[in-house]
Amino acid sequence: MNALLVVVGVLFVMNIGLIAAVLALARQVGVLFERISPMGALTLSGGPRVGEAAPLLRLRTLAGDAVSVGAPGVRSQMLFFLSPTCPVCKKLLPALRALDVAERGRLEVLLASDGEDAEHRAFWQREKLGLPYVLSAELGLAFQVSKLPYAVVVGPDGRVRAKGLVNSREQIESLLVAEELGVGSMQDYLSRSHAVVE
Amino acid sequence: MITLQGAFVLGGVARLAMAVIFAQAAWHALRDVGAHAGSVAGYRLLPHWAVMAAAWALPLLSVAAALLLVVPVAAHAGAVLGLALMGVFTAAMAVNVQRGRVHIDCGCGGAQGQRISGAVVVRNLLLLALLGVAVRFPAVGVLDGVALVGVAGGGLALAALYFAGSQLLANRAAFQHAGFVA
Repeated sequence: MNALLVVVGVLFVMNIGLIAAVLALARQVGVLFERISPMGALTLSGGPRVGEAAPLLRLRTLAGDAVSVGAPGVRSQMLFFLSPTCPVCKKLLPALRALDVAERGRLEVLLASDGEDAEHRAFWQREKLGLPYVLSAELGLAFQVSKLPYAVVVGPDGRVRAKGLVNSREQIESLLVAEELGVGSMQDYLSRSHAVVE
Repeated sequence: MITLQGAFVLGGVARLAMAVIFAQAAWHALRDVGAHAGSVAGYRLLPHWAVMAAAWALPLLSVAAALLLVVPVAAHAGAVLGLALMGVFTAAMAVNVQRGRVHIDCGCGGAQGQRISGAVVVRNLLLLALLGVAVRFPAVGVLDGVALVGVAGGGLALAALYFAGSQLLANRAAFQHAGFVA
């Protein structure tokens, strides 16, 4: 009886130890993958693909100006989808303002959201956004925005150049780099460089 | 025919494993309730005013289930509460997998950055079966030494297996998301 108890106990300790080792290995694989995996904005499926024409929409900003999305023009457009209740969006607002100032000649930054007019107007004034802000459920649906903050870059030719979920300044910049390089996203870039290696 | 003590061990293993799993999930959620609220909102099943309340209530109920499960006299109530909670979680997940919203955060502990998927739904169905075992085999009688070691070892091993499995599922989802095949 006593021997049985010891044997069972020892077996369980070994068993749990082995499972713990598997868990630790799996964790390490996950962490390693995070380190080496795409660092750019994450492209979610849905909406017009990179290279396809952006839906053409004529909208009005909170300030009352008319803007069009997807219309051929001189400058590229960055549509930044946000919501007043999203903390990460707020964190990125200074980066967007800086981007707007630095790239004004070639890039038009447009903030986009949907919902109640008063709520967004209050948010717009409270944060002193100063950037054009449009409220349009249609716009979000057209690009199938499912997670915020989300950004889309539309080229001067009215085609989608880059898009993705953006959680940091680097990821916003990655979209502009993607536009310059002519690749849709970091994943796209990586799969191309993998294809070259293979 | 299974003896009373055998039934206790079988149920005990299931109860201890589920207690650990619920406790870890609750700890994961309560450590950062704001982030957990984000996960709850991601399921798009609740009106926005109910999200914060649910983000608090679900992990607190999980704590209650975990505590009840390890007290023999309350174990049955704990198993039933656990079954209800896990049923809700699994249904919410299945609805979103059905909707094709597999990019949302699971918010369920187990592994870091777990997204929902068909595989995670299957994992939860296995947990529901385990809770079924906990309900079916009540904690009646007294455990001797070997049985006690069996319950402790089996329960902890099962819980550890769940964490390792969840981590592997999360890794696989991350690989697929990035376009790697694994």
